[in-house]
Amino acid sequence: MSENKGIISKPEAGGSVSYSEDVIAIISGLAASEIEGVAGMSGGLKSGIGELLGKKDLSKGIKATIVNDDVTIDINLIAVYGSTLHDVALAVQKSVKRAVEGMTGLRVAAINVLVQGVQVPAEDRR
Amino acid sequence: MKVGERLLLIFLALAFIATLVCVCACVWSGLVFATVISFVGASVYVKIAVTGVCTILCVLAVRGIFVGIKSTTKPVAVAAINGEGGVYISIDTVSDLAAKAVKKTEGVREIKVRTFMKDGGANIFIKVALAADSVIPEVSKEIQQTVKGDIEALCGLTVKKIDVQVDNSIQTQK
Repeated sequence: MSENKGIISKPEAGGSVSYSEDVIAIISGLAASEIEGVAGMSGGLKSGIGELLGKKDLSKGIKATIVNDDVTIDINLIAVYGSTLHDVALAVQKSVKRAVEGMTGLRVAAINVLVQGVQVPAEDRR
Repeated sequence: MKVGERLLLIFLALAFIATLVCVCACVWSGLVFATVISFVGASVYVKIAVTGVCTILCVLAVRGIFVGIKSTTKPVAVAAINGEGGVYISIDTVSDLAAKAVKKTEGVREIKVRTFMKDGGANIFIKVALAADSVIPEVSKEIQQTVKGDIEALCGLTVKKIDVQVDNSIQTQK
């Protein structure tokens, strides 16, 4: 596979298919959000301003880095209060790895999950 | 935030307040406005000095904007390193969970929690105010047990030490 900064290309019959870090981040974000115990992703200032303007950021809280042929994904998430954080993080790692490798055929070298906070479910807030 | 950055923001805030006070004084008092204009327009050196001060304040204000935008790295605790990667939990999350655990204890009125990682485990310092009729040793022990149980179960971290400081006794109103 050839590699430009932030893009990984796979030669296929008839040409090549390239994947950018943003695409990998979006796939990872969608896979992580589906896990029970994940309240949401923890984004930075840019995502916050975008959401205020009504733009949904599907890669919020996710950073994908491509180095040589390896993909490393860093995930910042907010967990649901009461869930076992360790188990939620493991489930996120498995789900993201399955989604990225299944949809792109790329090899995921590492998935690092950082739990930035916990959120009390809406029905439990008084 | 570093000390220098805090001082910068304090200085900019004071400069902004001083500017607003001057503008209000000029708006309400024509005499003050005329005095300021005549003073500034009197000499080219005064004009250069005022321009220089304004330029320096602008540069500091731009630096202040970058300080505000810059994301600060917060300390994290390492929960696990496995074949897929690493699992990390922010220290703020651990403190938050500890505070929620302390809240479950009857008799607790106010809570402050500080957490730091040392010797491969979490050290948690809890400051509480209790109801006046609480038996302090019993409540403190219950706090320690509840916090240790919750943090170890929810985070998978080892809790090395929990210090409880009872700061205040609050009379509950009948």
